[in-house]
Amino acid sequence: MIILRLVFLSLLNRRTVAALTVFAVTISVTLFLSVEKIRTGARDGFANTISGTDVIVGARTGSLQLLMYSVFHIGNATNNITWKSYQHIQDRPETKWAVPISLGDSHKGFRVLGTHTDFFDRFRYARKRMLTFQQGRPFDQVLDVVLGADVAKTLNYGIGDSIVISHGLGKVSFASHDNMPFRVVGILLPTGTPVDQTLLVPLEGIEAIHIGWGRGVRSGQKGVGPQDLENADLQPKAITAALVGLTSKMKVFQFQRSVNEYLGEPLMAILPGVALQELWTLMGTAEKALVIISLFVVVAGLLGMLTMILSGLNERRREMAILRSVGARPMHIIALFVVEATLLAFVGACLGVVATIIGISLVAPMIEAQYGVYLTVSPPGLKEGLIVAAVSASGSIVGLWPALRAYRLSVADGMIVRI
Amino acid sequence: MLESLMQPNLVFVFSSRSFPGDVVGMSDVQIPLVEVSNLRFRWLRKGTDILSIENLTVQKGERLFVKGNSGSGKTTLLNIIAGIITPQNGSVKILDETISSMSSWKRDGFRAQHIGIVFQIFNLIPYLSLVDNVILPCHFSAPRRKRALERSSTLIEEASRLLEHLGLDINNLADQPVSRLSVGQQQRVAVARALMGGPELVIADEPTSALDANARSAFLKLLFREVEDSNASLIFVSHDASLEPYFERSIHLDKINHTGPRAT
Ligand SMILES: Nc1ncnc2c1ncn2[C@@H]1O[C@H](COP(=O)(O)OP(=O)(O)OP(=O)(O)O)[C@@H](O)[C@H]1O
Ligand SMILES: [Mg+2]
Repeated sequence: MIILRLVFLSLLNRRTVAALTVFAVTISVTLFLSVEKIRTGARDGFANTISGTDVIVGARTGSLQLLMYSVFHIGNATNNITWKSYQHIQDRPETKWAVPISLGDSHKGFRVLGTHTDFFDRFRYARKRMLTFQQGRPFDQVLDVVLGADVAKTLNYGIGDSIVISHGLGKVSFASHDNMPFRVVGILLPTGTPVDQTLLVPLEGIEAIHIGWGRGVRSGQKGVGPQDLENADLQPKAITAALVGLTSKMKVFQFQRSVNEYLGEPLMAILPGVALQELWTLMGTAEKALVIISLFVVVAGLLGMLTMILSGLNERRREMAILRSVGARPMHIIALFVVEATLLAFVGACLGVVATIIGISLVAPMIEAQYGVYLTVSPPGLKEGLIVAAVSASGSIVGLWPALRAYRLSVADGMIVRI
Repeated sequence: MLESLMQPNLVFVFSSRSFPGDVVGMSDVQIPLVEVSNLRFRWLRKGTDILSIENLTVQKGERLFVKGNSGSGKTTLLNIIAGIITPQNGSVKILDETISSMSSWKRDGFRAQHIGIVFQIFNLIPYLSLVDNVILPCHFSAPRRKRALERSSTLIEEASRLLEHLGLDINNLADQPVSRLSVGQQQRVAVARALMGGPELVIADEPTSALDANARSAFLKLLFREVEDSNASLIFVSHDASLEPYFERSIHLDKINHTGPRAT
């Protein structure tokens, strides 16, 4: 159709300005899509971290807090739960399995998680995926350690390396358990969950390194070492939390109530999904603000386009007069501008989608390493299609303004344009 | 005839004092093509009338010269005849159709089909090629496209034919942006466009005012030949009285326009 041809050739004639306009739209759409991607990536990442676990049991605190420290290793446990409580949970008729976890020590800024070998069988992420070994095997000796993918990569550790665990969580710790070095027996594949940044050791190992320690400071006994382990009592006395799988999902509330009413000590049981929901409502406002800001950037991009078209209007009055003289109808004049605006917005939005895909695939490894947010690079889908459609439609609406102005000018001018 | 055009003294000159509506032509049968009657027009609703014309007729095949002082309303009159603007009073009939009472939609279609327009300057759309500029009217009028295709097998061929006829070497010029053509060349392209698809009426608003004397007579010669070839009528506006002798008939707008202090 002639209008498309005119629009295309006219834009080609003004290619510098047109390209800049498209660029502005591209940047704004890229920003919007990236924010969306990271937002949903973070959400999915959180949701994917704790598949397969029905309930988490810990000391009584905020449910969100329990979730954060037990699963995401953010913040610290205020209280531990006793081994007796753990056994009670394990013995509940609703319980199918219960994996204890113990947090509190670290290695060069990475958290150390004490647990059972069960952890490797029970832990699920991204719906149904299991932990897999890149190298080696699960721990089975007291002083064995399995490394998360990022730990091994960042610190450049391999199987057989010897590792000293520090007391507490500081990156620079003066109290190190250098008398009980651990040996690397396995390295996990990346999961996109906090496990990647974790060192996994047996619960007994945690006990072992604390032999001769009281309240975080080394007590008098100097010569304690691996040779003492055989005779030592390595039965854990306390753990941070327990991940629990139930025999039936129906029993969740029954189980939860019984844990909450446990008389031995104040315990609480949380449903990870429900606690996460709490997190979303908490983050909802910030998320919304982010989305609104990026939407405004898209609006700014479209306004830039409007400015470009309006400022070019005067120069194009003669063109309009010529078109009217050869029989173009007002409809054609209006279409010329609306199609132009739509085309610019459409191309800008499409390039934005492409730029987002390229950008995400470039920064994904960095974001993953830094924040543990797993960004999946996927081909454009419904969401991208909707964005392109919405931006193009907004472009059409924006284009209506210069279109009507051009039409009014062309009527007022008649055949001869006096500028 | 064409040779004689170059020598004004040999041309049968019509008096500019012949009264409005008086028809003197070369053809034996006089068929009115354009009939303007009791026209009144003002640009602004509260302003004064710019035009007030009782009667103005242009015959089929006639070449009419319209002169008048600057600001007297010549361009305005052409706007009205072309149906780009509508008069407040009176009627404009072209080919027995009253365009002044048509819907604007119909009027645009009518113009596309029956009228070719040449402006004073800036006739061409800068981002279209030479040939595309000439073909333009055929995109807005199916009948005109049809007529163009009756003469040549493709629109491009017809445009090229017209351009060559007007002395433009399209093989050399086609690849250039039209803005790089000389003013005289541009005006000739505009004539080709006005004649594309054989409209019955060609309107030219001072098409030679940007040309020097030599280019002016050459242009006029070509314009006349083409208009004659396609049997079109020509309304030619200019305030350059030296062109007047080339035309079969000439009117002075101030003589037929009864506005201002002389308004009746
Ligand atoms: N688009 C317009 N809007 C408002 N007034 C106009 C418009 N075009 C022309 N006029 C007014 O109408 C009057 C006649 O103008 P017009 O252009 O028809 O004169 P003209 O005879 O063609 O003059 P010139 O020989 O200088 O081209 C002038 O007073 C002019 O100011
Ligand atoms: Mg004029």
